[in-house]
Amino acid sequence: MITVSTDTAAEIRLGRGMHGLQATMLADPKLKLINLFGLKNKNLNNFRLPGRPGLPVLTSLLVNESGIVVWKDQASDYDRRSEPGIIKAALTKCFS
Amino acid sequence: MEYMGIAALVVALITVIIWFRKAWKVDPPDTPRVFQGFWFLSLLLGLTSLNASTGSIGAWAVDISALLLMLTFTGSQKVGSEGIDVGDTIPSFTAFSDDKKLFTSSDLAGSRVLIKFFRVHCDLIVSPSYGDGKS
Repeated sequence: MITVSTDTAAEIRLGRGMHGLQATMLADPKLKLINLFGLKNKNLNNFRLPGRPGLPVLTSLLVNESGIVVWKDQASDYDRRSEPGIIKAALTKCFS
Repeated sequence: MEYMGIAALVVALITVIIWFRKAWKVDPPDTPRVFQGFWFLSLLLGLTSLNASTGSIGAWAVDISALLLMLTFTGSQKVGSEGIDVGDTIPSFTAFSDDKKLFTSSDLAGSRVLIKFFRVHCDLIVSPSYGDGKS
């Protein structure tokens, strides 16, 4: 599992320590990756935090061994997250 | 009429606390309508209080309620047509992880991977029911 967020490395380390996360967590405060994947939020509510050029649309991607996206879940609203059950079902469907 | 301002602030604060507790647990309600109803009520009470008195309590209630209403009514997200989709190959990329190691997309070759894009660090609270990144 890889996470990409607009947090700086220091902010990620803080969250990782607080919550004991072990995923590969990539820092993307300048949205280079997020723009590369075309996932920058383009709505008016794209609040710009200090030093951040924008925010991503919350998205989960399942990628196969060939690097092809086989499943995508995208939140319609900023307070929505991919439900664990939905991700589990997608993992079973795509990779079993 | 100051009691109305106090009531407005109490309604606003209680609902805001409940809202953020849910957000902290990544367990937002299916719809914000109930919360929006309380914030609208708080807004009306606060405005009524402001109209009738010179106290500032009603103003606090109005400010809080208006902010939360604005945030919840404008929460939709939009990506452009260039957004990655099912069937697309992920682009080549390099990025630094939090331990300052360079990570490249070639590190993923031959692996199945879940990639999650999210916002700021409050989102690091991932539900443990799908691994919370510990595996």
